[in-house]
Amino acid sequence: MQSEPELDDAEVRRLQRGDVGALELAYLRFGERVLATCRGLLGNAADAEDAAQDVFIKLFERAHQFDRRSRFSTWLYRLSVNHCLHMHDKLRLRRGNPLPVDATDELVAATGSPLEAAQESDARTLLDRRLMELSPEHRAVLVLREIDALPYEEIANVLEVPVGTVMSRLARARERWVQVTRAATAVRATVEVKT
Amino acid sequence: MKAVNSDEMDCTRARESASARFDGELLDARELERHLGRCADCRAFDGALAASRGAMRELALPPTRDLWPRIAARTRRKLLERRLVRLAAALVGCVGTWALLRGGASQAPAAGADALAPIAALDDPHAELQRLAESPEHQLLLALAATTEDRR
Repeated sequence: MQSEPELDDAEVRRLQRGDVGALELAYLRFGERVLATCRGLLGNAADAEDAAQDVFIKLFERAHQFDRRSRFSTWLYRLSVNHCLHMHDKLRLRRGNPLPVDATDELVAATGSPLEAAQESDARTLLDRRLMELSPEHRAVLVLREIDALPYEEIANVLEVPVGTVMSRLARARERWVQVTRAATAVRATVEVKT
Repeated sequence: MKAVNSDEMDCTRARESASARFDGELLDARELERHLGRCADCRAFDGALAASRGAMRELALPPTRDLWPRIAARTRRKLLERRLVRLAAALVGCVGTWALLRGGASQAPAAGADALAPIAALDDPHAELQRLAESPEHQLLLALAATTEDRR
């Protein structure tokens, strides 16, 4: 995912003073990345949209806590990951385990073809479900690396763990994920043969 | 995938190294290459990394709608709530200040309904509140309330 420019010092100060224009600037720069992170961590587009909104409201309320010891984007990622993992626990308690995953509606919008959408949806639904079976730690490190394309050092800063832990956790997460993607590929092949 | 080779620890490290190399975070791959030369499981893991990334990125759909209008509306509500909290704090401060100024510290009512009793006894409570709102004591209380709110 393309990285956006950081908020500069003056923009951060405006945000910390409660300037809604500065919040909009942060949304324009980071909204897509925050939403993608939430999507990967929650496995459901509707929940991800709710979570992304919550993250920006929290950003507005807690901007004064940003102490400039990390990059602004790192701090925002940390806010996003912590919020989504907390939200996932709450939703799981409320709805049961596993959480529901996406239906085909949004895929129709994305691909323009109901048939393609149905095929994509079967595979995606399986991927979503399996991703949700990974531990929160594995899910977080996979999302930050594979979707957000963050370097190890920044992942370590976001998750507040040593770089060595990122390296080993990512390898374990990928081992599980490789198993999952093989299963999803098999499902997709079956769907394509049937259609 | 479970490492079943006799050199299980080596497989664990090899997969960490393969994962790091895939991300461009491994400086020296010679030891990894030696391990991959003799371990089919780790070779399979190494060969599957690109496909697994592709699958992960399939999950990142582009946003279907702009979330900003809803975020902006919620932010405006939050700002309104914040102002109401400040106003309420200022009003409480006014009442407290008024009670202290009128009754003296030793006779000031403690709290609750008794604290509001002097207001009911006023001929013109609005004028009295206006006078208090312009007093230096009230300005100080407003500043204190704003500081408290900023720290929340």
